[in-house]
Amino acid sequence: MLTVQGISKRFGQRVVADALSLEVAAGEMVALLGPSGSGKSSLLNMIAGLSSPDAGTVTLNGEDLLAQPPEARHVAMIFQDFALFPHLDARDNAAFGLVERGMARKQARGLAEEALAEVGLSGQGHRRVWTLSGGEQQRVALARALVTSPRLMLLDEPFSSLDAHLREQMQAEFRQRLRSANIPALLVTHDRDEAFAMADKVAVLHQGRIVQCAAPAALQAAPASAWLARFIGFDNVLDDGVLPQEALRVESGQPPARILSLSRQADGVRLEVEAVVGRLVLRLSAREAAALPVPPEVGGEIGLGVDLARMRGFAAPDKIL
Amino acid sequence: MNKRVLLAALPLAFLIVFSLAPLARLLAEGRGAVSAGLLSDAYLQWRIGWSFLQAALTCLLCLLIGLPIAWSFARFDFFGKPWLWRLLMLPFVMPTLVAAMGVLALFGPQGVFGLNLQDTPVLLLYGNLFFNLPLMIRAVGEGLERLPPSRLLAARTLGASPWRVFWRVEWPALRPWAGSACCLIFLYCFSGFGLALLLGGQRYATVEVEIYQLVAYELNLADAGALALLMLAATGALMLLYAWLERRMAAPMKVERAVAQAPAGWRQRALLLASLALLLVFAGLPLLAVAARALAALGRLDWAVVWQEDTRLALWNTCRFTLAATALATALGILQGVAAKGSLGLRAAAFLPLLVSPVCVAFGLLLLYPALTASLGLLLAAYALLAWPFVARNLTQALESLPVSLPAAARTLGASPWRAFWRVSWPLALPALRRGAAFAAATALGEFAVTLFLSRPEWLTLTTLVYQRLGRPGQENADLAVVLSGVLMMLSLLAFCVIEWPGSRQDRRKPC
Amino acid sequence: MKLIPSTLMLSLSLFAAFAGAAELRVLTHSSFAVSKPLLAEFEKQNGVKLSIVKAGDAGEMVNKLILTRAQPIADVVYGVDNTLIGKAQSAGVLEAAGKEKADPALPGAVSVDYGYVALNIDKAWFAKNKLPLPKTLDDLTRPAYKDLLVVENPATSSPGLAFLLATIQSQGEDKAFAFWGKLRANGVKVAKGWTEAYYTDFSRNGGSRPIVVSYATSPAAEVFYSKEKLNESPTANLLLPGSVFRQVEGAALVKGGKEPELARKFIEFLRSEAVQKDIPTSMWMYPVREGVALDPVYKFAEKPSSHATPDSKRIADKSAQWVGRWTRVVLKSAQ
Repeated sequence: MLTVQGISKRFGQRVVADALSLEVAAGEMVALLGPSGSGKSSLLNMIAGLSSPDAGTVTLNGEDLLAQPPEARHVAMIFQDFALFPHLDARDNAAFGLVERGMARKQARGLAEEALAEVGLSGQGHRRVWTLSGGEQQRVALARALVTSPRLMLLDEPFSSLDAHLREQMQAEFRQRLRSANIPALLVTHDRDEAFAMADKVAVLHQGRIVQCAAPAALQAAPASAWLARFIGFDNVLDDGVLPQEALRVESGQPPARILSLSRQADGVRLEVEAVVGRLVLRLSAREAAALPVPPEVGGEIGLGVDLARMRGFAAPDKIL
Repeated sequence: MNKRVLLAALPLAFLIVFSLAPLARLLAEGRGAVSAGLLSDAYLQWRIGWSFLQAALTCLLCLLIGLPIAWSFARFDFFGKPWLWRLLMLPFVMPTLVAAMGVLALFGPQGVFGLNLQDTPVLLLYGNLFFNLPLMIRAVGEGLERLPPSRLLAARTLGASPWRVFWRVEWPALRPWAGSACCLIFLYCFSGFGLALLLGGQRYATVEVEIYQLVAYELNLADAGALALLMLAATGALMLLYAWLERRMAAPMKVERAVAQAPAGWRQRALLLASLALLLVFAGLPLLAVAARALAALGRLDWAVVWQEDTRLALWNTCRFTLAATALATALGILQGVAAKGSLGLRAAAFLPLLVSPVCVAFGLLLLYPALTASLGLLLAAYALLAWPFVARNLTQALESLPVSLPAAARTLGASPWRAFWRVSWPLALPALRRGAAFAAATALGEFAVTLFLSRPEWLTLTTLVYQRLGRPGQENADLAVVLSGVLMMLSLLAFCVIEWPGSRQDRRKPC
Repeated sequence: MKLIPSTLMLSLSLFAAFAGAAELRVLTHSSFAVSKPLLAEFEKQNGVKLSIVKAGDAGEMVNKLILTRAQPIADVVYGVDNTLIGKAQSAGVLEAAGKEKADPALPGAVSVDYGYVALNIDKAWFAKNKLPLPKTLDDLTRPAYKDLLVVENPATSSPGLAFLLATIQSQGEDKAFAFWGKLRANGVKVAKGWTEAYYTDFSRNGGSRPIVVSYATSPAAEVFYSKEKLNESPTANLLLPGSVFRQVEGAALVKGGKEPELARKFIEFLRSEAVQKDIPTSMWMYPVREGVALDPVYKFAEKPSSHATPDSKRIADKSAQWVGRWTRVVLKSAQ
């Protein structure tokens, strides 16, 4: 179990971690979600030992990590650009960590081949890394990290350079591999879909602080603040809570709301309406839209009821973390 | 920080002991007895002015001639291009003496074109161009290659003609590259000694030649020292600018290479042809002239004259001194190159040996270490001093353009800082180091300034032998000197092959 | 890797061998060329290791000697001539080897060889252009001889200085500089040193000037260094009155040197018959020792019957001033 406690770090005027605390339990994947510049990667670097915090402690299974240099931490990291070594072929890349941990080269290469096979690159070990596709490079990076049996895996936006289709596939693969290896992992991302899809818990980072850390469902059920609610994708954020789409009832008997704008989407329409409670975003599936008595159009009206009982209030401060 | 100081300690000590301390000693010997009217002397003003002017003119000409050539190389695909791109550095590694001989053979009193340009500034400018044009072409070419092709296409779709694309998109991106090349070229030309001495004649010599005359013949150390300091101030400022520009460009970046295409249409073909013609005129002809003259002279000589004891000794010494100096320069360069990563001051310090007047250093060493002046160690140190900046510069550049995630990844995989350096940074910087070492070797091979140092008959090198032969009348001596210059050119060619041939294909495919 | 210990042993033993033998440090100019067997013979006979150090041309060499007088870099110096001896003496860097051997032309040193700085012409050029040879120095200032002469800069070249001194000696200072002013107007070319003048400007070697300041022995050297031995030299001396300088080269002890006895022996050795016989065709100077047979090729070298050489004291007193004036008249006013 990784425990980060009271970590602070600043670069000149810029605060990247402000008394930040976080836990990753055994076998758990935690996503660190935040806008760019929120200090996500800096935290990862401090856990890996690539930079050191100004204050605070980091322990892994009760062992003080900060006292150790990065190579002694047995914490593997996967980088945004994969950081494959261009002078080594795929197999030697995968064997790199084993050799550094003192394994004989021949044996290390054998294990590396196996690790490559596990990520679907069997027989590709001789290939130069720049001849591999993005997904293949990603897999080599995963194999290279997994083969050393790390105590913790750090993932620094590893999917951001892949195209959408490949990204989903790799996310699923990573999730499955890490789970089957039972390695706790900390994933840094700015993509909320990725965080919700992959992680057991999502920690939202804002200006060097964790605003909230909870399971994706809990986060959606009770976001901690208006900022956080907007950040994780709620359209209708009010002063004391959010209105989820299911709180909006579209029925002809409901008070009319004027349609301010309309945009068609792959799976329906998105309307911006002026309702009694104020401006709201209303998403209608294709089926719901078709069921409307009058097709929606800008300037038209739509009957809209708001079920305030379904409003989700912001989480109480003691439930945030 | 401490580690950096530790690493840099040895090269910096070397720099102080063999470059700055001698200069300081020479200045102390002059004791500030600088002539009152030194800088108001019209003759000297002309010298200083001309030194600036010829360096600036060379930069301008390199830019004007180098840009179309570099552009053609980057954008067009043509037969023999990779091969020609490698040959491009050949002039740069030529010994000064050989280059001067080639230039004189072309445009000297009995030049092949029947055009005597001696005693005009053209000769020196042409020699400067010969040496420095490749630097400009390579620098700008590299900048062009790093320009994402999408940016050019974007400009085209926004309605820009190819010329406008160059002017509004390519040129602004190239400016730092061209700027850094200009700094370096200006520096070489401004503080150049050998070429100006050989090609400048009485009128178009540079300040460095004036310093040489003041020290070696008039024993006027005060004035010479004052001039040397003036030069150092001017070139030092330039060097800082250069180091700054270069560090800015070394930012790690993903290279998405532009794809070169065969020239289409008469305009593109004409541009390519013109570029290649320019290249031949400014970089190829002097080499061809030296080769032709050497072959002709070889035909006139008996083999016994060519292969006499002196020649064998000079060849042997040249090879072993070059090797020893390269080894020393490489060792110092590695320390300095690694230490200078990310440090502007240390980066600029690597260039000091090129900035400090070699004449002043030679005489300063004599004053400072009289007991050592006739020792081989000092001679080799002098060779190494002049060769070392090339190693350090290449290495620092390579290390700085290495993505930081690579050594970091090695660390998280269990490598200690030293292991991470040894297994990742080092192998990746090795091609650059090899290139630097080869430049160092070529510099040591033909270093003209070394003739300023004390020498011993048993240390005869090809350069000194050429001079020895040219110090006596008679056809045989002249012919032998030309043949030996040809040999010197061949040796430089060899050093150059080491730079550009093996592994260079790998360089080009490297993703980062 | 057995090589390393054995190499180490070898170098150690070599070091020991040399450490036993005394070392004599000889400073010379870059033209020094006594043949190696002769030097080896001297080393063997005297049980000494010769360490010969070349310090550029003679002027540069003397300056280096002056700069290092506090900690001399040599025990004996060879190559000081009558244009430099005064400067070396007033700087107090030399020590006479013995009064009896002093040459009046070279006070304070022992003369070893001598030669003549003289104008040379390219015979083929004059034949081709059907131009009569000039008869006097003043002829060189006439339009017929415009752009034909190349001289070395006296500030950076000893033959250049020698030629300037000869013109001053023969015409007197003011007339001489008037003459140089006219030469400049008539297109005299100034080269940095002998090598540049002879090999890039002299028409015989690809230049455009058929008259060059060189040595009276140069025509003989041209024959000596030709592949098929020539019957006639392609160049000849042009011994105009007042244009020839007699240069005397010699050796002296360096003040503060370590091995004065060996140094004296080395000077003796330079004057020995074997070396004196070697000098004419290795350094192209005449030996000072009488009765030494010259190589037959010397028949192509015409020995001047007269010369205009100021005495060394006058040279020492005035040459810096003359060179400065020359630079103003010939170089600077041209700017």
